[in-house]
Amino acid sequence: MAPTMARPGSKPADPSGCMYVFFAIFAAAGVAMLGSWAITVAGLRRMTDDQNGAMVGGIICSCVALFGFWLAGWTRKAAQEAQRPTGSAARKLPKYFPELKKPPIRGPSGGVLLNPQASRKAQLFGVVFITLFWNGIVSVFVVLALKDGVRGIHLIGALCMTPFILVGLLLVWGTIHQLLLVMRVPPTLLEVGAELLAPGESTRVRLYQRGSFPINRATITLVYRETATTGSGDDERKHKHEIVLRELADARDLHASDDRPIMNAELAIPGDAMHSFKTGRTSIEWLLRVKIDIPGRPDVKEELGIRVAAKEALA
Amino acid sequence: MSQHQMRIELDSPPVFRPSDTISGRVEVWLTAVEEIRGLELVLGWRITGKGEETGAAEVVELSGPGMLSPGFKRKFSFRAPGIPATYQGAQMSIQWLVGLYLKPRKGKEISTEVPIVISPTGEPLRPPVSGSPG
Repeated sequence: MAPTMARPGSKPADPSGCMYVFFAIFAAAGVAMLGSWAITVAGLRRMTDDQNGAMVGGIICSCVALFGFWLAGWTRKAAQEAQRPTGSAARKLPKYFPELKKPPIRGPSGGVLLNPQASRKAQLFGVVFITLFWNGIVSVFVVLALKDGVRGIHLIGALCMTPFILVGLLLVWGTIHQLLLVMRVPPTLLEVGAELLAPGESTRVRLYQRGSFPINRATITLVYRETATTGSGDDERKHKHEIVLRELADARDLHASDDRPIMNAELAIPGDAMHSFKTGRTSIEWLLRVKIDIPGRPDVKEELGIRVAAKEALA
Repeated sequence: MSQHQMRIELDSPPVFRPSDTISGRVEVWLTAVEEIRGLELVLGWRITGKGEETGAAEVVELSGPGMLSPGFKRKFSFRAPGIPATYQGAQMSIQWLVGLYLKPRKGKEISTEVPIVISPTGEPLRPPVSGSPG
């Protein structure tokens, strides 16, 4: 039998999409069972022997779904890793120089599209998960407190619960805001002539806002950030120091367009600049921060990284 | 307890640009032939300030486990890496060094380190200033 080696140039299979769908069924089942249990605890339905089973089943399904989503994410990453060029086609990056999470994509003007630190959908998924988790726990205590009606609530108990409920409401607001951003604001693209720059080099930056709607104001800012993590476990702390270097572009009264950039700017890296740097616990980043103020829709706030390194360091 | 002395001597001033050659010699004086677990020469960096990491660009095992003679001398040569550069940041610094580490069979490790600068400008790089070209 012939060895099952991948043909040069062939793409390895990526089953992560199917895995996401499969484990989403578990997630839906888990939410349904936990919801059923919560309704019973709230006294809206008569308790039956099956309700404890619903709670346990809901927790198990949720855990399976979480593990499955993690596995699917890992599988996708592994598939992308396998697609990277090897041999002479691969450029060997030195240690501690940040690698791109995704291969670069060409923009409308032929440049490179920068990837945001987290996509809007990923942020929505994250905030929905945190909101459900937080409010799921808080709701149990709220339901128990309300079991004997509003008059049965103790003042101290209510005071203790209030901050947790307020945080829960803030999370709900954040979820709605993120959902509106995903649904009502088409993609924002930032294109640069070159994603990898040497100190002293410059490149053209183009900002695209898809769709057709007025924009109050848009800005692109160059930011330099040091991040260091100290301690471990409960004592772990992240220290950030940010320097806002320059506003590359600031314009008002613009209009979103599917095919034309709404802004153009020149990005120049100082000649004596520190290069990008990344280890497990420390990083030095060069970022482009985009803010778009849109009337009647959520504002866009995104950070996109560029990489800076001396040519001789990459040789 | 024996008294050990170790020295790292560089052939040039301790300022290098990426791809430069970092060369010199190491000397270890022991009072008598001694059994050791190892003797290593390291070209590495250390983050100080709000950061606790170290990294090694090159590790050379000058001697493995065995007996080390009293007057040990060896020349060395490294190629200066480009990343990371020596850096003095707002909350952390990256310092390069050449370090010699002797592990006696019994007792604590003995070390000596020589700080060096590796940077494209010949000086430690610093964070950009707000309002600088960009």
